[in-house]
Amino acid sequence: MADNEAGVAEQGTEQEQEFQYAIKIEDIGPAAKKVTVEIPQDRIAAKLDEQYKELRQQAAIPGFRIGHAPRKLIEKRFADDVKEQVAGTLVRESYQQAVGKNNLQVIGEPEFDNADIIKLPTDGPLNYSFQVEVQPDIKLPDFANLKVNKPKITITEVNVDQAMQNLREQQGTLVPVEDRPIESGDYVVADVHLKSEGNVIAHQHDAQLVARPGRIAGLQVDDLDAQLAGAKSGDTRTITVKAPDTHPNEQLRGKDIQVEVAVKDIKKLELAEITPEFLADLGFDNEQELRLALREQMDEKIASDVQQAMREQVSRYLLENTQIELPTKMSDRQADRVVSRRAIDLMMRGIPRDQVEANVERLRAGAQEEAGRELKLFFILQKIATDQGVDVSEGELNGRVAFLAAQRERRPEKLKQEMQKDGSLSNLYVQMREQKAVDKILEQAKVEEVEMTRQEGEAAAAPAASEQSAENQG
Amino acid sequence: MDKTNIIIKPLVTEKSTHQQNTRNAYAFQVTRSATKPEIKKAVEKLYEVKVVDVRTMNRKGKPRRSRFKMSHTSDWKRAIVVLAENSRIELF
Repeated sequence: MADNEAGVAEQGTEQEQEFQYAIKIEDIGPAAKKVTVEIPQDRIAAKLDEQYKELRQQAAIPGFRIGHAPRKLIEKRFADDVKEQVAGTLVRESYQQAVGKNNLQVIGEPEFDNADIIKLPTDGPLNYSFQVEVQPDIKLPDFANLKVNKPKITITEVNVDQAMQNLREQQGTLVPVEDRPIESGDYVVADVHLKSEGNVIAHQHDAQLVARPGRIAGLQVDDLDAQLAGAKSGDTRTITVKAPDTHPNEQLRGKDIQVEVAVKDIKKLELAEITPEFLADLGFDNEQELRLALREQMDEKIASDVQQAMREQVSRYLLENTQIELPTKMSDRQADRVVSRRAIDLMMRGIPRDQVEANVERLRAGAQEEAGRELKLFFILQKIATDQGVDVSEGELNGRVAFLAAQRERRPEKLKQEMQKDGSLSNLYVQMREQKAVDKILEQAKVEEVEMTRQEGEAAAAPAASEQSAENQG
Repeated sequence: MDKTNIIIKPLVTEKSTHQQNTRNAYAFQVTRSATKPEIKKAVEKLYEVKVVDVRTMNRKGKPRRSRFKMSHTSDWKRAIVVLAENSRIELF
């Protein structure tokens, strides 16, 4: 008998899923909707009835065998719980219907008005309303007009020579110098004291410096080699530097800072000779092979840089030529994320927490714009991906994960599991989808080749990289 | 003797519910010293109903063991009260 009843109840739910709720949708602001839903009384009653029936089959009440307690007793005992549950189910169900039937592409969580008073009324219908942010309307520009410059970079022997030189420097050995003062290009070990208006503000013992334009303790010194030239071990040189307006410490901005460099040790970099042993160490038989490998390396780098540059052009074009109204709350949230990302970035660079927090307001101003751009691009690319039927298959995703795993020397399955857990797998998916969408546009765009030398190309493609290397020298 | 709390609690069980439906009889736990007339009066006053019949039974407490000693729960008295046809008690 119990089985029969369960069967009936199930059928009942199937029918009820087709139940139509009274749903009203209003526009409020850009890409935001207010949805009002009314759940009629008989619907509530039916749902309650179903719930009680189910509960009766399971409730263990002292004095009664399971399934034999009178309905009235159960209603009295579990009324609050059941009502809450039914309210939850009905709201969820009607919410899904409201979203599904009207094709609302909801972003983020809906915001319920008076969420804590959504309870079943003792009599009459249940009304509630919520606000959601939806996928904004996007008018995509015509890709036929899109022109993309493809940097054409040729590698000459000079480039390869330069690469060889770099390689020899990397593999070179530092030889102590005792018989002469510092010359340009020397490696110097020194104690560095930063002073401002007579007070020491920072110091660094045994700092490694290179006598060429670079940074000392975060300050750019353009003539470091000239300033240090001629100093001997044991000498102290004072260099005066104007702190930049962007200096993390506000009080120092625009002020003169005295950098005292007490030279302790001078070393010279001796380039590695290209000997058969040197080549064998790197896994090559002769110099020709090494040069070829370097050239290939550069080719690869250039190819990916070129692709990157072209993608950036597409992104810029899309941003400039697409009309889109961003949901305000969402952009605020994104801005928050950008701010916190930057704040963490600053803290990682060793700027004290309270200073970072003091600067958050200023960060926010810039972040708003960046967040808007990021979001815009995200929506546009998602839209394009959907329109053009771009999708990333499971296989492709696995391939990328395997690639990442190989880079990190991990097992692919393990890495995938981890990524699934912390959500970065879906990020990767979105990223790949976006990339494919951009590539799809690139296929349709007019590509124009532009001649560039390697240096220009590198400067255009990787400004960030050069900045990084400058910092490493400091 | 103080018999202010004659009726201790109604007994809501499968059996008692069944008897309510079939012969309008209600079960209560009552004070052990309560007599049938006292129970009748108490029920009539408490629930404003007309009592037709009262039957009582003394229930022995169940044996319980604590460590090495045997003991038992308290003995108690059950009363089955039959009401007049037009009287009803809403226990739940």
